[in-house]
Amino acid sequence: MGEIARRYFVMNAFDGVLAILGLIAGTHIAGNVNPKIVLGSGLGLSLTISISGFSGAYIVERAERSRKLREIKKALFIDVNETLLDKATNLSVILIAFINAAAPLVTSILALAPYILASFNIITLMQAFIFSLLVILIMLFTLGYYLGRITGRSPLKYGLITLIIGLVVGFLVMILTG
Amino acid sequence: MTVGIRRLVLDVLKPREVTIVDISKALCAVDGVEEVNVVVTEVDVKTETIKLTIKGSNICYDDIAKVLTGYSCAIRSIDEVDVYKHKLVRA
Repeated sequence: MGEIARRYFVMNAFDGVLAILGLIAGTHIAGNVNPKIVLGSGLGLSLTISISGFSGAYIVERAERSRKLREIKKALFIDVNETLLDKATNLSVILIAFINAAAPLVTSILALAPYILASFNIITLMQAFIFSLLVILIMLFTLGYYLGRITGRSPLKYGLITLIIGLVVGFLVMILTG
Repeated sequence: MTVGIRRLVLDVLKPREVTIVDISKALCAVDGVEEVNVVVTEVDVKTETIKLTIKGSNICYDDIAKVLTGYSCAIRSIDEVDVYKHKLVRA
């Protein structure tokens, strides 16, 4: 379960961060947007990704694990319903779906945090954009670094790769919406 | 006089997802069991065949079977059993 959970966490955290990057880049180019609009759109987007992540992971993992249990049942010639294996399988499906949902939600909220400050006029819209961008780039680098650590390869290289992907996405969004 | 099981040797088929450490600990936790020995005799893609030697002062076979079923194990055969007769001590 650990391997699958890690994979889903990184993939969906990455999705969440890039989605918010696209949103803030697009709204920045659009002009003088109310920070509450950015906040509302961002939260709506992250909630959608989160719910989609939960339901998608639940359906897929449920199907995979049911298939695995059927194979075990066939190999053992016994019913494995209500056994510890069955219960552990059900729990792991829920946990994986939850991780799939939580990853983009947490990263999106972190990325949108500067806009919360801007909506209370604590910082300006431009400052919110810059801080949000910084948070996003740090998260992208951290995700890549973490990937590098768990694969045993150069964490710095992976961190830079994910950072560059983020910069390219931001740049493309700005060109396309500009 | 009553008869108790002192030693059981079982041939069990288990899924690979369940470890012999978990099974042996669960069996040793059963009342009347004092010692459990597990040897893996065959391995295939999905299952492992294990030889379980259970020793104790008064082993209840039904309790053992219940624990093994809970861990998705199938008892293929009872290969050896040691029973003994002892007097019931009344208080």
